[in-house]
Amino acid sequence: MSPQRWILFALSILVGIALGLIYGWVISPVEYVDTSPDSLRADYRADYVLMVAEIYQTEQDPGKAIRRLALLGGATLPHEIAAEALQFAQTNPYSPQDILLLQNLSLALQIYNASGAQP
Amino acid sequence: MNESKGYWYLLTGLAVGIVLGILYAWAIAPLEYTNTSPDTLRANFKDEYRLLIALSHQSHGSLDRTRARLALLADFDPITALGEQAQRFLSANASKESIQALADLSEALQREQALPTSTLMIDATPVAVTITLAAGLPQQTAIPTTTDSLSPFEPLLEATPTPELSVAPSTSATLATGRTSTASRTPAKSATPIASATLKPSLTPTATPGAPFQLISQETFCEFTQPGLLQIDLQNAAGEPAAGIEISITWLGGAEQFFTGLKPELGYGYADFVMMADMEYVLSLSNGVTRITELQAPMCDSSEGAYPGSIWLQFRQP
Repeated sequence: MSPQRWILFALSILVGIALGLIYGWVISPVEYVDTSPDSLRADYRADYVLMVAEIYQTEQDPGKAIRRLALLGGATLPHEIAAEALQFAQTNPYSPQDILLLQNLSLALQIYNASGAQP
Repeated sequence: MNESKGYWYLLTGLAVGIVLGILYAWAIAPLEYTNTSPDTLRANFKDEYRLLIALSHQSHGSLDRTRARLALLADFDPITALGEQAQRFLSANASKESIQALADLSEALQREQALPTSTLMIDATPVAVTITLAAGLPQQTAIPTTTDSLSPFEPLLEATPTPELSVAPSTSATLATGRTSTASRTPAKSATPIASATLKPSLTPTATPGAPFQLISQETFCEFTQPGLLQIDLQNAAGEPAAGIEISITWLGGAEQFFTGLKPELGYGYADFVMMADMEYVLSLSNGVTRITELQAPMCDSSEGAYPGSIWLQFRQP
């Protein structure tokens, strides 16, 4: 093949790659329909933690709260998740009542974590 | 001939490129959805999320907040979804507290739905929330201080967490302030229900705790397609279906608890239980105050042989 053909061949591959990327990213991207809670957006995560805090207020069971927060998991520890949610709530206009709930949960989990207890 | 051969290599290159491009887009560097919304969760995580909503509702008691959270799951019918989950939990021997929480929330939503004055409008702009109080009490209007485009749980009546039961004439209700955040990907659906709710503080439960159910009707019938089915229908004092009521069935060597309203397609006050032939059952309601003993499936005949018949029980609160 002549050099000109090689160039055209390479160009056609590049055009193909571009078309493939457009198809794969724009026209038919990978759809995530079965996601896990750890991929939730920050405000949804904070609301999830707030639900756990609301339940904790009634149950007063840090072990159960930790197991529930573990779903948001990944590498983050439950008391860190609670602290993150509290920080999110404080930097966003959550109601004082909700912030108090998150503070209570965060504090309880920190104490629970420091005590070395297992959920 | 040579000319046409010369064009094939371009097509080959294009095909190779497309394959490489799709491989890169789908396998090597697919779009990462790190900021997902609850409606994309896997079914079992949705169940967990729904259970958290139900359990937390027991704590805060705000139907607006709970309804907004349920809306995030994008269930076609949240009440049915709650009932179905309770059934799944029941068959999986999940904790009684979980099942009760789901049933209670289902009942609360049905009760609220049955109120003609209750409305929910999804709107992205700040709205005034008018709380219509009981007759003789003044009206109150609360204005949200900010617009909340992302919060899933507005409005929250700060002054009275359970406004349907405790709103006083002089209470000034204010909505929780909204919040904004940025996301790298806009969810497919509007994730921000801001509810304008007209609440009635004079809500009363459909099944008044403490008022024991009374048996008003008992029938036996033969239905070959549903052998041994014990069907129960509970009504409150107003004659409306009473959902979320726990029913206990005991028999020699066994016991089972279940709730009304878990099959909403058959009625919110409906529950059923499959009886074995030649076995006596005791049904108890209202914490054992109402008891029906010696329940036994009647024997029915058909061309294919004998089979256990069914029983229909109807209870009503006085």
